[in-house]
Amino acid sequence: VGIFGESSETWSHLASTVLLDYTVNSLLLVVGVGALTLAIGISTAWLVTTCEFPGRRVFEWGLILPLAIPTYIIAFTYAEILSHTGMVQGGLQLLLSPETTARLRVGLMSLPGAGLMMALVLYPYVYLITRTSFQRQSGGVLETSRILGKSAWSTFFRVALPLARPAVVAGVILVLMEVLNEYGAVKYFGVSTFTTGIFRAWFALGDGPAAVRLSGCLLILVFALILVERLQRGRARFDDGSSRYRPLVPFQLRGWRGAAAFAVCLVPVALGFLIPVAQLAVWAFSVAPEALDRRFLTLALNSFGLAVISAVLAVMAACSSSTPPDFPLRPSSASLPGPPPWDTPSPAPSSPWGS
Amino acid sequence: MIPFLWVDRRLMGILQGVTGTPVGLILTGTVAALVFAYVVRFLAVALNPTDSGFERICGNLDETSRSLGMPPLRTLWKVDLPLLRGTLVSAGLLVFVDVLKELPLTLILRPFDFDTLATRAFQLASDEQVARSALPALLIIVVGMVPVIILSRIIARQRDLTIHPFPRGTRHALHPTPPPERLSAPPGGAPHPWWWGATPPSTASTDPLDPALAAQDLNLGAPWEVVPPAWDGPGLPFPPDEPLDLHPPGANRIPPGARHGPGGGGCLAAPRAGRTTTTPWPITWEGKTQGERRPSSSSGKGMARTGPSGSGCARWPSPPLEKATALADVGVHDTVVVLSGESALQGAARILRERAPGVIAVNSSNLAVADGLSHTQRLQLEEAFGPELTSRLVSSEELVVQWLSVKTPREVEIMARGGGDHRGPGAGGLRPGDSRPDHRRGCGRLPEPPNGPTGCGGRLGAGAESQRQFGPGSGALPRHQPGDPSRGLHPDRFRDPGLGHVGHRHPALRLCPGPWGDGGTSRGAPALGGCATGEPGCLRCHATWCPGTGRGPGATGGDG
Repeated sequence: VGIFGESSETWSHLASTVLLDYTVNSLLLVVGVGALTLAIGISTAWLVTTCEFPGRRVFEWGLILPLAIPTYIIAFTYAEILSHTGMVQGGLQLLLSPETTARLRVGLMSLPGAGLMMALVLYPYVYLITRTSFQRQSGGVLETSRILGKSAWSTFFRVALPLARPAVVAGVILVLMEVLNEYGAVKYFGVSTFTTGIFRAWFALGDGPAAVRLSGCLLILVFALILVERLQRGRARFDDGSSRYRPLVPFQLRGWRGAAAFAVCLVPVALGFLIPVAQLAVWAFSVAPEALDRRFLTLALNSFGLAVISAVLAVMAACSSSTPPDFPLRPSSASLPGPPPWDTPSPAPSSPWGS
Repeated sequence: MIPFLWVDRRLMGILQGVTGTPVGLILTGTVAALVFAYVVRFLAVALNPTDSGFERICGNLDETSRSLGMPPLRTLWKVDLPLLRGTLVSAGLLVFVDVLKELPLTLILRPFDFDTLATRAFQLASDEQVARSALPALLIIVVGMVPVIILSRIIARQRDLTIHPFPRGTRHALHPTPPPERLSAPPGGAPHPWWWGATPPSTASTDPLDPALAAQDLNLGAPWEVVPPAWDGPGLPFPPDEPLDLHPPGANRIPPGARHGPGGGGCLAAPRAGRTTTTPWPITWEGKTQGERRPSSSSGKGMARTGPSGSGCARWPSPPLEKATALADVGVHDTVVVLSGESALQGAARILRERAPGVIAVNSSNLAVADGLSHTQRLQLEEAFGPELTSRLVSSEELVVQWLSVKTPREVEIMARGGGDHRGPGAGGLRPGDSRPDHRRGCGRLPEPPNGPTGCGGRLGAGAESQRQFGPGSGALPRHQPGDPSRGLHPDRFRDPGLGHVGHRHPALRLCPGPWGDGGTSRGAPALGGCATGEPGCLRCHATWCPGTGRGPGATGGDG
């Protein structure tokens, strides 16, 4: 079984018909979601770190909340909200004629829609890591840039952003991995990507090797991503040269600037968390009497049981593999002081575990 | 999953061989396979925090536990796991929530008719029963918010994550460095950091009149750290609440001439009269070379210290009045004179010629103990001083060290106050007049003062003397009474080996009448040329020995 085995009929069929689609769709999603998460994540992280505006403290943690929503949930929630029977269309139909509302309908169930859904719940990766990076930048660097005559925007683009670049890239790479890994949302929206292709090859076509080949293509895509980043970073290094940390004096945003900052931070939180959760809560309340039955309890028990067992096992595995090499549980000749070499009768290592 | 299937097929083959009956695939399509897949998939999620958690633990803890006889597993259980508890719990939570949300893996591998919240929500939504899918979806989201909250809290305290056997601040308690804010400010004045050596940055000021700046200018700045010695004596009797009067009345006023000086040359400051015997006296002149801060340009920077027969002076070229004011506020000089028409070095040379010190110690660097004279500076000195004074130039190191090692009561008091909570036995780590070990032994090791009875016989040594002065029951520090040199402690360099006394003048020694007729002790009196009469027993003219250096009369230090 493997990528380099005999190529099957299914594989050649896939390669000649849908492989290009998979690649193009996956790449489009990668580019679109990457750009969106970058825009949302960096701008909110910068505002929250360096500015003072109404609601900043709430947004500081509120902006992380969309991370709690799986992509497939937000996908079908928004699909329903924007559907013909959804809240938006229902509201519009009260005011406008059915023809007009039908024309206004947003075609969410498409590739751009899937990208938007993913970006709404994945931007917190970029936001979190970038915010940490901004927080660690010494205010002195930015102040120096201002003193040397750069404008605030120029300081952001020429100083703060380049300094935060490794962090930003790490966040985006995480996001893109999630995008390539995504199944639920793209399946629900009917966008064929590598993941849906793999599922189809395995389950619908019953060809495991073809699925593995597709996974191999996906992995190549992932490595290409990492490689591109490495290459274009080149030999640049991103150290904050001074060891002295000076907290930044936050910019005070008042008036319309404060309102704008508030809006910029509110939009992702509202779209990515508040609206879908509110909609889900409304639905949940409407169906709760009939849906809260023994079956739901079994579901929850299944989920939690699996999760608990897996979590315990994963932590144990992580523990045993991350104990430091000089930890007593893993004796090596370096950590067990054997007799000094001149006392050793034989040239063999004194420890039974070797060195 | 493919390797897993392979293992399963092999297992099936083995079991079929053993039992002889077809058993089918054992693991595939069971919860075990699902759990295995989850663990493999989310191992990385757990690995990151666990790894960093183990890295943060001091390796010494393991080694200590092992060297105390604990077996490895018990070490893990008793030492590492309790320390890592928080980390492991949060790592487990992350995995927990990821498993809860995981959709594709569960869809592929779940056993028949086995649903989780995620698969159920997805299926219901796919079947257009979106409202019914809301309940499991909401449950996933609510549980999923737990690690989000944990994550944000972890990031909030990320700077405090290092686990260390000693809690934070322990080192501070072990080696207290006196916080500068403990210094009581004089009424209407800034705290007086002069004796701290290096001025702490929090008190740094750009105000040219700030005494803190002037103190830096004086360049006495060996960073000074209090290390509490073992002292079983009584605590210092300074009342903790009494504000420290750093500017006693009459101290260091700028002479009238300075105020109305032409301002072209600069100013000179002479040290307090009564600064006796071998304690070096500073002569300071400042120039552009050492700091961008200096508003002036001049020949050089440094500090000259003169011995008993000399007198100190300090001079800043311009703007003289401000500098003079700052200098006067520092409180070490009696006299501040504004020069006119002289360069800094010329002025200093004139003063030195008048005093005719035996030795002139020179220093021209930021470090008070280094010479740091460049060749050019040396040539400038030679040119200004002439051959005779030049022949007396020596390194300032010894004198500076000596000068820094002996503390006045006022300095001791400031340090004790600065020690704050660490007052009490060993407060500030100083015993008045007793900062050098060879001064503790009593006067038996000290040479006799030249004239008259020494009073040494039967007297306790200087250290004991000082303890008597400062001991319990002695009340507050006796204050120096300006104009009455016989009463109170003289706020001068405390240790006066020539006298062996603390704060009291040796009965056999007296000051010859200075130009002000007060023995030269009045703080406003310029000591320049004030005592050159050579009367026998005059402290300033005839201190004849130096216990620190063993040098004869006129040991003089200066750095310039």
